[in-house]
Amino acid sequence: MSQAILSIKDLSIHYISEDKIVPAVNKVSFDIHPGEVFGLAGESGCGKSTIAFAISRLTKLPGLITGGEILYQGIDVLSLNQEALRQYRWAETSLVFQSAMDALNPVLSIEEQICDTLFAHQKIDKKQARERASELLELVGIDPARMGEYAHQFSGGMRQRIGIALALALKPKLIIMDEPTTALDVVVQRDIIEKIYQLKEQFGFAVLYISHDLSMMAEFSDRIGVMKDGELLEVAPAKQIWRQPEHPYTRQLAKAFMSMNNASAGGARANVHHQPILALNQVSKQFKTKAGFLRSKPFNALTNVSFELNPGEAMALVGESGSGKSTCAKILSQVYAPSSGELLFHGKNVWQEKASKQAYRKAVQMIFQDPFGSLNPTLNVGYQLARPVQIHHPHYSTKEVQVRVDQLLELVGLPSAWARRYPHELSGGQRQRVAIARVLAVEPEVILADEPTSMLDVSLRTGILNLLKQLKDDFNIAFLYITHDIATARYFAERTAVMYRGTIVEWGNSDAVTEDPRHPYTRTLLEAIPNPDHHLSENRQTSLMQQIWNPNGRGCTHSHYCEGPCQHELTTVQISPHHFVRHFDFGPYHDSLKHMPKKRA
Amino acid sequence: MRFLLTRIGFYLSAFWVAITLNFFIPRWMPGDPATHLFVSLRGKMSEEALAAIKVAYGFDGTLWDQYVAYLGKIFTGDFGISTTNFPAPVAETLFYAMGWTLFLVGISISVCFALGMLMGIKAAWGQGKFFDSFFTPFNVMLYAFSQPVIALLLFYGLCYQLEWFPLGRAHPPMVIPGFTWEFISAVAYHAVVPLLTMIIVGIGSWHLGMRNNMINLINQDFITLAQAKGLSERRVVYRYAARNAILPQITSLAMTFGYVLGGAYIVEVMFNYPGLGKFSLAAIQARDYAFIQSQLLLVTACVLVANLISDFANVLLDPRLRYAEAA
Amino acid sequence: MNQIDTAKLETALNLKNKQKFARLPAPLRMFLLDSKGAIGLLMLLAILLMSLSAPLLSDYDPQRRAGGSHEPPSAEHILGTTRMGKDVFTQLVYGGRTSLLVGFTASLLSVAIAIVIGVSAGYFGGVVDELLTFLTNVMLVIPGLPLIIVMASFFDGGASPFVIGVVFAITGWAWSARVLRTQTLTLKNKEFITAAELIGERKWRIVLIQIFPNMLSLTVGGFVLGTIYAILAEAGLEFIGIGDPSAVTWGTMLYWAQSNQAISFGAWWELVPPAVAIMWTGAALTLINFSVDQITNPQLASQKNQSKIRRFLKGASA
Repeated sequence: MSQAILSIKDLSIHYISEDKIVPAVNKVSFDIHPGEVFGLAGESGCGKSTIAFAISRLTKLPGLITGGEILYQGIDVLSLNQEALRQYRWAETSLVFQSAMDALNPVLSIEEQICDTLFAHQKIDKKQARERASELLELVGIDPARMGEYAHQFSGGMRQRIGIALALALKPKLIIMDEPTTALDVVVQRDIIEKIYQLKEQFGFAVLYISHDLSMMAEFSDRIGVMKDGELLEVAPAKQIWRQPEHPYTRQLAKAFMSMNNASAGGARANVHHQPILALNQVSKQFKTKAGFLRSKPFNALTNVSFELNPGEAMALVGESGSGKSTCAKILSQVYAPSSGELLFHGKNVWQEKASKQAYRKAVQMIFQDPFGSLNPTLNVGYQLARPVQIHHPHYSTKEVQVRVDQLLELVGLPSAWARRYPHELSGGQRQRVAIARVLAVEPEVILADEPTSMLDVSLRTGILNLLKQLKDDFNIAFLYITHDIATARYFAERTAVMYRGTIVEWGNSDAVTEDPRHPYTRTLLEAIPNPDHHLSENRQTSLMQQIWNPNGRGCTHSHYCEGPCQHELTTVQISPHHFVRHFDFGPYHDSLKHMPKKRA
Repeated sequence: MRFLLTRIGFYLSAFWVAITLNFFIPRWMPGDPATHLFVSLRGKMSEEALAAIKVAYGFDGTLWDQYVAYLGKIFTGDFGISTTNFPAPVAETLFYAMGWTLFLVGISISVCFALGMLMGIKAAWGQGKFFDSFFTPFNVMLYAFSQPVIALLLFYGLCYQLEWFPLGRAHPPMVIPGFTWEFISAVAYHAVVPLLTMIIVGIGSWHLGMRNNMINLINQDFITLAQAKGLSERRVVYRYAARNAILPQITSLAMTFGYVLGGAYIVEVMFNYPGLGKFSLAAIQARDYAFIQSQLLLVTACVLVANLISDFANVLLDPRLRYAEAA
Repeated sequence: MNQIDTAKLETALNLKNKQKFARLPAPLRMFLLDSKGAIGLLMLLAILLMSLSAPLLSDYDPQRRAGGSHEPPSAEHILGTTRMGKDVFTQLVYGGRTSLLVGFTASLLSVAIAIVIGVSAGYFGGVVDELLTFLTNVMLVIPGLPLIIVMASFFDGGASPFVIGVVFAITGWAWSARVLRTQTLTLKNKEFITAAELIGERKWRIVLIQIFPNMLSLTVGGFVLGTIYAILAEAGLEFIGIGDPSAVTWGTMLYWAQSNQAISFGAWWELVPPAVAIMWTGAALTLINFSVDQITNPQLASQKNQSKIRRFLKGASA
């Protein structure tokens, strides 16, 4: 192999906290070769981002580099003087951050932010800088005419593209990407990764790709290093890490991804005779958006959504951000009232009868996405579990409440002594378990689970989903599982409904929907799932779906090419007894879509 | 545009509330101004004179009639008749005093803003270093040492003991106001200690505000990115961190305007400076209610104008406000 | 590059010592570990104690003549006498009672108003919010001192310290209310509040038990700032002669010292003690406020050990 462009030797970094010094990175060594994609995988807090910052020597107190070497083409980065360091930064190694919104200065235009990078390193005039800036934006697929605009005027995916353009500005030999797609929707994520790969082929820079997502990494990287608790456990070619991992931790991590991607929850229960607990009947929701002085224009967040939820059954609502799935959850948890349509609980319209509204409150509970926001930091676990018990059993004695709290903790797999702990003493997964216990305290019939695992490390996700499955079976609770991740939907739920721009476009048995997707959007979603068995370099073709797919569109599924008000009557087509799809008409692409392979290779 | 229109709408209604407050306060308080005057003159005034003064103060007729008449007067710029310099209209003294007060407030606020900003930037960029650990608490403490105490110390130190500066007034009485070197230098000379007092007391909050804004920004990704881009430290500090940290400061600038005006009152009394504070105090002693009430309206109007200017500045400097509707 | 010995650094920063506090709740720990807050608290306690034990410290009556005019400090009159022959030390300790009491009650009252208005506006939203926010913004733009002058002008013989305190409370709550409203809005959108609503928790319990404790440091910060403002502004008003000159407070002491031209008679002891007392109290409260701010916004404290670490690194590389 050729000479490494970056070699890290025995790098140690410590954090100085209020009362102790803790190691964040412990004697890590690895090399990156020219033109290579090196993946650094690991769960949150393993020290992978800390290394990324150290390479540009951006480590700030309370972080402190305590030992080791960082050699860039033989230059000792850690002993450069200030001016040499300034020249080294960005010209040699640049960075792409996780959140492009935070990484771009909100009050400077995109043009200013690209140009001042150029001015800091090159002796060029304003005109040349502008030319280079528009060249860069064009490379990443942004209209250079929008150069004078500001970060908040772009969508998430476009901001990340701007971040990449910025990283390319000085043609560095190494680009460090710290979770570059984590905050994005799956489809956008794939789009960005493919763009990066294409640019890499074109310019030949090396990439240090940092991510928690081992499956995406296996598809994108040449070699992968796996980190845990500040230590680099193993480094190996990507395929080997995925297929024959050596270290037990890597094996466990890879398995967590594989089980998610391939397992199925089994088909829907056969008995559909009895009444559904919960049903949405032709529900629409409109919001008014501001459109100039004293004017507003309606925005359809939900259009004629209907579905039913049966006792003891899990149904997944899958979609990207803005698809209306969260609006759905808010209508179900009674945060919003629907603009039209009915919310039926045991067959009764909830918004009409007061009594049924109260019964509904008790029966329908919610689990949230953010384990750090869902528990009150000032109250201990015991209190947060005791309150729902007391509210729903006012006659309980203190002793009985205590017993019930212990029982709830046991149900979610936590020791009863933890009732005295405060949320900051628990990890993310443990907090999520407490949140589940709190919901169980009310003895609900339905649980709305809004992305309950998306903020947890992968190794914990299966644990939480398995716990929910267990509760579903033991207590015959119905689940509405809201997620952007169609793979976990299949793992957890018997039925899946795919939402796109405010409507449900395809629904049915999870297996049928994922194995025989009919709607173009469902196919796009499935295609976007990382496929670690096939490296990006092998057999790539940009899918037709992505050509149609328009990240800025809103409203009707036909808005890509329709002009004027929507004229389409959306009819439903039944594919099989348990599989339905909304009729779609994608105009010139329609025929080509029919020939799409049913399943991914 | 929408943003600015709502703001202007708010300021107009705020001003209306101030006018209404001003109308009701004397009517809530025990005894109306005319009666107060009558009592304090102990029978030197006849009953007819009392009735006449009540009319002059607008305390006759129903409350609604009084209110309408009051509003009408305000909008025609009629602030009533001064009892101190009877029968001169209040407006004359009011605008004269206002000029001097705004002179003190304008200069001290600009100096405080600029100095506090620079010190805040330095403190934040070297958070935890000597400059920050010493000057940040020290400057904020200067505020807490209070206006009267600082004014007294400077007065006795610089004016009385060392005799470097005059003991009071805006200029010697024999210097005729005009655009002459003699007048301008006299005004500058007389303003040094009052201004110094206001600056010493005022600087801490700007220093602290700028520092805290900066510190909250320093850990943001875009600052780290600016450093990673290899920009010079100067550029990162001023163009990226300070540029953004200054935006909330501009809002505070307008917010504190009223507070600094209040501070000027104390300094004016201490240094016998012919501003609103000095005349208001004289008006209280002379029971010149027309003046006392008008000063509140005028000062409120100033604060509202300052707020409006800061709104314009914010819209100019912050693209997020400028393009809020487009997004 | 040199290796850095973390064990040595730990000793240099004396971190072991701080582990003793590890079991305390985080806000309290942060307050105690920050020297500024602890010093400020001690300073405040000292002056509070002095004022509370006024009758024990002095046998004179602050309102009555106790000696000759302008007697310099002596064993009999520790801080001398005023022009009217009143004992300055006695006035100082009794005046402290009034000044501090007015400062604390005015601030307490205004924080109470701020909590009610700010939290209701934030939590209930809608029309309630719009009305209360309008009220708050109006109070913010109407300048306090000129308003107080208008109100005070209707009290015969000057406004008593307590009238001034009440007026401050009525005019000074707006800033805190605004901050608390913003914080309530943030908290209201937290998922634990939605969760509490879903389990059927009552509204007043959500406000008192779920929301309020999360704003404690903000409220304490508002209280400390409010106290500083009230004490300073009271002194300012009384100093320019709007207050009741017969009351004994630090502000009226300054007023009398100034109007009696104490300095022209060389009687610095009439002026210096109240000035120092105000500065002392102001400094104490400022220091406390610094520590409370750091609890509310931990970033402000994040670089506490910086200079020590730098010194250590310099020593290590030399």
